[in-house]
Amino acid sequence: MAEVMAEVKSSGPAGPLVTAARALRRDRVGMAALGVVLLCAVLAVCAPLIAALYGKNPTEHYGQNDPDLLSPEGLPVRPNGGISADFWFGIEPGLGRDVLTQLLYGMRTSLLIALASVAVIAVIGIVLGVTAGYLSGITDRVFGFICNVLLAFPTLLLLLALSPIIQTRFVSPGENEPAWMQFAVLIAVFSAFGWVPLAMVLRTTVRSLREREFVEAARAVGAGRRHIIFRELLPNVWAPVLVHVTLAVPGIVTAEAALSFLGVGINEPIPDWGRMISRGSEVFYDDPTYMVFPGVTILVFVLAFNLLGDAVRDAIDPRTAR
Amino acid sequence: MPSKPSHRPRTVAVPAIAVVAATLLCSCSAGAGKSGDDPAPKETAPLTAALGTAKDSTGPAPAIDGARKGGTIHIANPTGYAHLDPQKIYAGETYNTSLLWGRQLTQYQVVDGKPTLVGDLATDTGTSSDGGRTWTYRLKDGIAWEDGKPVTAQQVKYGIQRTFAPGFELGPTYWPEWLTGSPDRTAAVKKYGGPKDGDLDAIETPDDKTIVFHFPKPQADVPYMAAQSSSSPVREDKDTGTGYDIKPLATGPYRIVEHRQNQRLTLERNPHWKPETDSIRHQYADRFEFTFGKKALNTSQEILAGRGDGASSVTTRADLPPELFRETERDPAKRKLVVSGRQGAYVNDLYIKNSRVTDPEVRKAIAYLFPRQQARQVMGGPRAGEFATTLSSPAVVGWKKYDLFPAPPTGDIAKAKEHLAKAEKPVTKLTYAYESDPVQDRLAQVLVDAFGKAGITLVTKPLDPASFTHQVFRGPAPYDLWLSTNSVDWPTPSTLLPDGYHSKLDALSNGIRYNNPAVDKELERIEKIGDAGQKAAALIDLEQVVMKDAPVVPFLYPHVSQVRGENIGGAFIHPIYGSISAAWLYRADS
Amino acid sequence: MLSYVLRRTLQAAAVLLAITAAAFGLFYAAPSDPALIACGPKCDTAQVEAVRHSMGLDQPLVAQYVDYLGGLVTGRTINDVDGTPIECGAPCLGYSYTLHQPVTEAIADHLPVTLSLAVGALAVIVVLGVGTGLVSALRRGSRTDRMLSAFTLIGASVQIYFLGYALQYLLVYSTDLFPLPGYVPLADDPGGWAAGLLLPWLVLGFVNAAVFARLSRAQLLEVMHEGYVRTARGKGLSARRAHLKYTARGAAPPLAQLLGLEAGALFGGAFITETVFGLGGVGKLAVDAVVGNDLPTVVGTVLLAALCVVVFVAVADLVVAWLDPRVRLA
Repeated sequence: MAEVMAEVKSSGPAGPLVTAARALRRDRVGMAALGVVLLCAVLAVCAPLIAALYGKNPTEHYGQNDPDLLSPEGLPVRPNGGISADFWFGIEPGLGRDVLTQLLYGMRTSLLIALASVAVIAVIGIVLGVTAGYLSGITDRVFGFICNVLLAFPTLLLLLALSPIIQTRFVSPGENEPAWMQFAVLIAVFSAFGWVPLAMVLRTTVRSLREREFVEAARAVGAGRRHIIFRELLPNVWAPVLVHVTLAVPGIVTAEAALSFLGVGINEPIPDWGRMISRGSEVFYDDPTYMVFPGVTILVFVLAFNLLGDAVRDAIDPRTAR
Repeated sequence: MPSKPSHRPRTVAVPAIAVVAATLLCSCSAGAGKSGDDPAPKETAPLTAALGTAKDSTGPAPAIDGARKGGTIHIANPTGYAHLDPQKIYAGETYNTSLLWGRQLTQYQVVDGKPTLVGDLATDTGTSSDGGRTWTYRLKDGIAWEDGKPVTAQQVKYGIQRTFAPGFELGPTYWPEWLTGSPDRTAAVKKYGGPKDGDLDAIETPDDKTIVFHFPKPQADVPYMAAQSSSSPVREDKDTGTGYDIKPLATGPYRIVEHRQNQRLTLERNPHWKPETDSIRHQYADRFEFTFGKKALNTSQEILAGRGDGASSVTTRADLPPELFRETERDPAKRKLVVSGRQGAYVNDLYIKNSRVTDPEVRKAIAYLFPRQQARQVMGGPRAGEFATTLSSPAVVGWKKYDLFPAPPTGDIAKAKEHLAKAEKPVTKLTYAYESDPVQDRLAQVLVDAFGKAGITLVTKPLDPASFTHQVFRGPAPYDLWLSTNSVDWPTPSTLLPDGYHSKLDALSNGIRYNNPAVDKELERIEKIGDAGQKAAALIDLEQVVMKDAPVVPFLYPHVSQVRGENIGGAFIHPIYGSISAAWLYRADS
Repeated sequence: MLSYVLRRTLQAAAVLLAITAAAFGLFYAAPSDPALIACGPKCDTAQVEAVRHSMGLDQPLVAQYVDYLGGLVTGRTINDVDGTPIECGAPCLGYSYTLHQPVTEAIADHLPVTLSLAVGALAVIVVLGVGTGLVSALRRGSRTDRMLSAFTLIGASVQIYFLGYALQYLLVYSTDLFPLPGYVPLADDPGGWAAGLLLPWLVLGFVNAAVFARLSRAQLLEVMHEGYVRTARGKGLSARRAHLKYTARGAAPPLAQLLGLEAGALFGGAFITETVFGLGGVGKLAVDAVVGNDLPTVVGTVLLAALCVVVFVAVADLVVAWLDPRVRLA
């Protein structure tokens, strides 16, 4: 936390942030959630290292090359999903890959998509939200209308329908679809719909800020629009942005998993939690253990992020903590 | 989804999660064990359809031991029937099910799982003259439509004429091709375009009971084609286009009462069907109620557990889902409800586009490295079928076993590398196209692994199922490999090589663009043979010549497993159509 | 009030129109060729062209869109692959060449499942959500409050595709405590209807109730501390009556809005729940259509889902306006 605080101090208005950080430090649940989130991040970043130490990789078909591991039907020979000293979390039915490394690399997939999408969402949301809130009038009306249209779209269905369309548009038939393209497509669709709630919150915030004394004062001394937006308004919207972003990460992780579960999303052989769940659902009568790992991992991950999001909100605005 | 901003306290939820996780973990799964029990019969005897005599063609059908009359049979299928128009039906299961209401010139009588081709509307399987250029059929007496009007030779002719018409591209193309002596349907319909062009001269109906086919070239397989749904009669006054496609008029033991597409189909006894005219079908149950749209897994569970209508239900369109393989093996009560058998005369092959992978050494290398066992493992294991080494299925007349590229079921990478080394140009990259679904996605990974071991990067192209055929067979079609199931249209070798391996065929028929002038010549010679036996023998011999070029890699003789309810009797996998045949079912409890 | 209703309705209609345009443009711009798919794998180029013409796909996109809109209002005649005309009554959402039936009919066939699922799940959401919120708010800080909060937190974090399968394994497969999920028409067998949908209702309800519980707790707490409730209690109204009369009314608007959003989402088809429990509702229809490249059905289901959201949100807004006159002025 020390370095976080140091960083926070060096940028922007220090006062409220220090208070918030202090409040967060006092929040045991929030700190625990932060711990889990950081642990996830470390595991994701260090996945290759851990895999090397553990001696497995996520793409090798261990079970297929060893009849002691998978039966001819493709189910683990040993009980509990084939958990053993060699395969701590068991092996995947069918292809016989290692579950632990799949989970670790799957975390990278999830986090990469979620963080990238959130970054794009934050930029779009801030730009559009602040602009609409500041300009009001016709811009604001158009903005409101677009938001309403986007909110009414069945997002999941649209994501489901859009991903294959984009993929076939841009990949030449002789090539594997590059991994970055799959990621880019998902990030693009998540961003295209994810910015709306943030922008709407910011619009409201900016609208109320606009009428406050310090903005009026700036206007009175003849500050330009640019100055008012960047110097006076932006520094005051970071709190809702931070809260929104923290809570958006688990949302995107689960939406991505849902897409893969329904059959679009990240393709083989890139490890992916949603696809693991989908595979688990095919064998859950014979090998329920396999689904427990991705299922519980997603649950813990999402829970930690939700708790952290709440903690951040409470820390920033102590009035809400009841 | 992100939770909405709201105010609430936070409690430590971690213990709760631990409880959830522990509960789930304790529902521990037993391991599969190492049982080597292979549910697929390993070497099934060749199962071929003999031609029956006029006596075999006389009704009624041989009674099934213990069969009872009465009751309703439920058929719960995941999808409905897009077409019921007899001239538009072209798939094993629909052929099979349409036996309930449709009758053809000939049909397969099945006794104890053994098929015999017999006369259905006709008194026998047909008599040929003029070296196979003329075929004559006589209709049995006493066959009527569901409204009591008699079935006539002219109606059979009208039905066959419809196969030339626009909108009937979906069905088999043999009648148009054979009757006009054309290489394909497009050429055939230029000579005659269906009933709108008036009468087709090639079919003669001297009286209401006699139908004579005149073919420009000798045809040996007319009795088998006469068993296809295309060879069903149609009444001109009832031919209402789309409406007829939903609710055709019955000649068989049942008639359609109601058909809501993708929802339900209800059949009841056809009072004008007489058992003594039909040596194939039965009329045990009072009613058949089809429901469509329920997931195969749920249906199978209901049937196996006897919940709801499960005990009196079967599925004909869904295979036993892999989720239930182990359960049905563990539990003897459930095991006996699984109906398994070879899926007709199908063979699953890895197709190699010969015009792209031109070097036979590379194709041979692929034949050696192909990991049959690992591939079958991701498809659910032995239940998926027997490993194949031949181009045609053991169900085909005259089939011979051979293996030109012997390798262990896990593949022979060393041997593959040897052949790759002999290739004129080194191959490092191939593309594999497949219809995207989870099982196929995993199968692709198995292939990537095996090709990788032999030093070939396999590019995988998941295509959406709806457009797979178009992308792989039409236009530039830039793919080297794909897995597909070839099905001969009837259990003789006549439709396999001539319709798939002649270089003059279009990309849809000869999708791999196989081109061997010697084979072309031999095929042209065989085409002129009018005798069915000689023709089959010549084609079986040619098969190994073709396989020497390694144009495809045989993978599986697929099997199907379907489920029947406790109260359903007479269920077996139809040896030709490859699904449970409804026309033999009865309620064991009625 | 009337002008507000009018304004709100117009707004909803405009949003819907924009959505039809967006959905139509988006999916008809897709690379897969509907004519090719409709015609089937055996068609040659000339046949595909004929089918394209008979489907009207050779018309400019705008003309097709106008046709489509016209069909929505008055119905229209669509040509089948072989040129046979098919009557498609209003509201015509086009004809599915994959299902061989008008999209409206296909949706109508699948709608009962979705409606049944949504109604039951909404009941669970309201009872469980508001109940939990109410108890938590009344006993703020107590053990019960903390327990319930943990419960709702898990609800907000757990995924249907995990919980659904886990419960099916534990409650149906291993122990037979619950009947096998499935759909039986209500009119055929009310008992079987409820039994088959019980688990899906509970799972879908539980997962969605969490947000509701958190919001209702927060709203109730906020209102309970607002001046008028305290005044009412000060004036001698009993605690319970004060809560019922003022708190409920004060806390209702945000809940109504959230409920509108939930209802809109649920009535448009619960894709994942239907997949997990193998129910053949609109959600499954939509997912199958996407997988099978059945564009008319995709557009139809997208529009239905959007319509549900727009209508229910608008209704919720009207209810809020009726409850809280201040909103109307905004």
